[in-house]
Amino acid sequence: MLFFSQLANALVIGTLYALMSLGLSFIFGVLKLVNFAHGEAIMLGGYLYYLLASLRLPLPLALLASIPALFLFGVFLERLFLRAPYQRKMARYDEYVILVTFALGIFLQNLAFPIFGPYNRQAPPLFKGTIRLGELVIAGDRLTGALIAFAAIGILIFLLYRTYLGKGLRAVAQNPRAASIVGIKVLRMRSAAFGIGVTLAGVAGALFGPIFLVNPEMGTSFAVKAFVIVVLGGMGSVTGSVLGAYILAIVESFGSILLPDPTRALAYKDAYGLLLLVVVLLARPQGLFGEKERRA
Amino acid sequence: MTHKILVAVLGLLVALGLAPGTHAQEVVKIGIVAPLSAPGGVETGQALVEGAKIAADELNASGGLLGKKVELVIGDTSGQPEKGTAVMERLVTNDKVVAVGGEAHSSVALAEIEVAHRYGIPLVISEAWSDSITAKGYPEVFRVTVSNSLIYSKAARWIKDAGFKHVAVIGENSDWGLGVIQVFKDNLSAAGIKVTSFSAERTVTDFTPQLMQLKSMKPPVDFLVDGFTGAGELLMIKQAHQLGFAPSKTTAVLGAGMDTLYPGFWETVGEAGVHVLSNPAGLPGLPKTKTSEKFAKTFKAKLNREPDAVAMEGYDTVMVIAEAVKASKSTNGKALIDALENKVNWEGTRGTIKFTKEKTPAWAYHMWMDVPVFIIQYTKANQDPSQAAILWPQKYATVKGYVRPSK
Amino acid sequence: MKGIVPGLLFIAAVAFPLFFREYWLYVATIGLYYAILASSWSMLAGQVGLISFAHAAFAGIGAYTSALLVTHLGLPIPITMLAGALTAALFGLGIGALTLRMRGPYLALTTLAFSEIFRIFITAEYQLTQGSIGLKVPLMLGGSKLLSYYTGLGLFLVTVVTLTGVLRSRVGLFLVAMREDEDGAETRGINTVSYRLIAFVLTSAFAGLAGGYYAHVVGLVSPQMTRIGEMGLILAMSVFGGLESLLGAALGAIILQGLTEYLRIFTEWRLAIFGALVLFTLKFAHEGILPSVYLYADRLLNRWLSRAPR
Repeated sequence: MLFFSQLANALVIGTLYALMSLGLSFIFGVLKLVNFAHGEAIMLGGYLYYLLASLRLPLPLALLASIPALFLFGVFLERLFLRAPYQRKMARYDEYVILVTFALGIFLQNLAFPIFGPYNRQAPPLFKGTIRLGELVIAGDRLTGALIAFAAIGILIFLLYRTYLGKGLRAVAQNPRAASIVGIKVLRMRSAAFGIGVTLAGVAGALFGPIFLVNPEMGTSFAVKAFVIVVLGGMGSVTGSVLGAYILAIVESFGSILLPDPTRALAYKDAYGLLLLVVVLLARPQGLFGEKERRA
Repeated sequence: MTHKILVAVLGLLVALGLAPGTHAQEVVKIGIVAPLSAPGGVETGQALVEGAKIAADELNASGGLLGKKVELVIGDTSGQPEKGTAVMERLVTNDKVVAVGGEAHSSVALAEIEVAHRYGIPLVISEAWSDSITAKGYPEVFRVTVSNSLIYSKAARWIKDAGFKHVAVIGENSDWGLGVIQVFKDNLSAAGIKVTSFSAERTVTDFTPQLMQLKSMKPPVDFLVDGFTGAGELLMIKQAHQLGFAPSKTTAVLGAGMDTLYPGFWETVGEAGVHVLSNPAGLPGLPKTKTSEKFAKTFKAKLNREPDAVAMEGYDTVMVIAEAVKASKSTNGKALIDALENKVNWEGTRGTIKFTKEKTPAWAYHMWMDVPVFIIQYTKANQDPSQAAILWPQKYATVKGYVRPSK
Repeated sequence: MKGIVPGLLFIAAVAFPLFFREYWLYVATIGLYYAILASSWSMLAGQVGLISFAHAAFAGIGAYTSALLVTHLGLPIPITMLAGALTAALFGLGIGALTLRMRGPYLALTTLAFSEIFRIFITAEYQLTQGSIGLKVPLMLGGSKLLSYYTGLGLFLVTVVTLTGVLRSRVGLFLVAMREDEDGAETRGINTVSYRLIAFVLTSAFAGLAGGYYAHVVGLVSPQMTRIGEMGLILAMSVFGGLESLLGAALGAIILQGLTEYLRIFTEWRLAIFGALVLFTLKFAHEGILPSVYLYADRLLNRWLSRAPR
């Protein structure tokens, strides 16, 4: 029975992880860059939901209202920092985006400290209490978070495969030049993609907040997990990210209790995923479902 | 070539900008070290600083020290030992404080005592409990709060008397957390009680897998010690309750860290906080002293809640330093240390503070051995610690014994 | 004429302790730690084009190696510091070898992963390293701030002279060629493999040296120095000072370190201001603030000079 409880918890957390890493994967898929400010997008989502909830908005509304805000912010960031260098085909653009997204992350995190204060904030969960299914016990805030994450992933898939916007995004991901030839506005798609990526991360943050508390640094550890998941699953692949998320959640949960020394087992929890990342990058850098990077 | 001259000029400007100004020394500066940002325990640090500030204001209202104004120089150590060292260096060499007080994190305190020792500046520890802080035997270091051995040996005895059979301790990897584990292990195992323990990084936020494991152990765990501070302490209790593990009919939980004393505790744990045990090193009014009443009034007016142990410690710390200054009529480090050791006998908010010179046990050196310790239990949601049921010591107890939850 | 400004700076650096004692001297000493890190990182990221997020971890490797050797084997500090540099260089070799075919974000992610794994290891093995409590180590040169400062200055000079020497040599030429077009360089017969390894070994050696220096100046080694935030600081300093200029990056470090103290009044907003400075630099002056300032001032001065009467 203990095994099933642990598994259930891991799957619940895994669903949340999946939502959290999809944004990163998506941005890479369309813009071909790793957003090192991903953690801060998660953090912003967490704070946004907390603030809207503290304004006494009904909680589902608070969650929904944060979506357009996050999207617009993402678009704004892309326009401000990423568009111009891309347009003028800056030399060593790849290195530039690493530096600028990393710096952005640092800036946002350090901006959050004086603005929001260093405290841990408790955002109201959409559902309190505990769910009991026979012997199985699952925390209510996590389960609702996972269900909403599941729905959000579903919406994303619908968006990608059943709408024109989705088609355009996928086209730009496959081949920007060809996409522009058939009339797709590549620059606009890139901005939209970044906005969507930030939104997905932010919603994940909003769902994580009530469970693990909101603070300016909350994004960092989640971002590292997202990197692991995206590398494991394959950058730019939706299926890969989802699968990678569940794999990581299971490895973390079971790793932290199966190793013989309980102190070390828990202490190294975050390292399991990282080791997995390194192994994958060395052995099969495209991950489970990604495309092999063309070198020329 | 010319652009490089500009660099030199820039550098010079920077250097000039760095030139320290000179102030006339018309104030008595007291340094306060506290965690005021993550990953330190911010609530605890702020309570400490609030208490200290009230003390400074009081001193200045009655003429200051040695005719000069008292100025607190506050340094944020963030719960990081490196910052502790850096802040101490700054307080001593740059701000030229006469003494330093404060700190709530043992690991940081251990770094700070080294600097204090190097410069011969007195350091009065407010809320860091690790034995090693005073066990090291540095003459500069004094403590107005408990040590792990002092408090947890008493808690362990209470646990044994209350009839618990299997205690689980999850401690953070700090000097304090590991100390908690050690003291419980030593005291409980000797009494034949089973102890399961392990430690983890202070930054862990999800204890669910571990709590699930503990819940399913045989013989069942009937007492959980939450040896964490900050968010971890609160989340462990919340998650333990969500799993139906503790607090529950079968298992009690003691929040060993001081984050159980603040409003943030109820915000995060909600209903789970009812029946949780805590061990504050002081409660307002117990014992009733002149200073405790006055302090409680000022504190309540300023912050709209009853003072907690940490705030009282902050107040006592500054006042004790002031007493030493008054008694020695000097601000010289050696004189202050001598005064703290031999002359201070002052009634504070929690009792009369006097430091011992005992070296057995080693941690007793420069401790205030009569520091009050309580084991309390929350009986209602959103309860202030001063309203909670007192389980121990006998003379202050408000209930017969541990109140077992019905579910 | 070209050597004038570096020369002036050198004189200013040597004369610094005459005007600043105690606390500011301590600040400058720490500043030199960052200067070594920033300049060595800028060589790797700016000159060779390999953005690695493991630099702070290498400093940590150097620091912990030195600390543990002193604590457990009682070896003298200069030797343990060198051992620290060598250990870091070995790890640099290892990481360089493992990431041979990696570019851009993949390299960044791998080095980030290594950095975090190292930090978690140090924290978890607290029986050996004291974990987040911090490992206490003896101070160098009897704790004299003055001597520590000059030691740091000396180490910094060694770093800059060595790295500049390498850059000016044939090796440097090939390294920069690799930055511009690694495949192209390989076509021309440059053994990119060995040069990549050289770059990693060299820069991580100096990072390790800086780490050992830091340990014996502060007297405490903790996992904090390997956090992502520290790496961010190094990045900020290098970018701000000039990613493609070793001296620029070092100056960036000194300036930002000085600002850290100077801006203490703004405490909370301090780091946000840094972040903003870095973003500003990247957007408007991405060679770095200082080189841009040079060029602009150069232009101004030349215009002024050419208007002078004959």
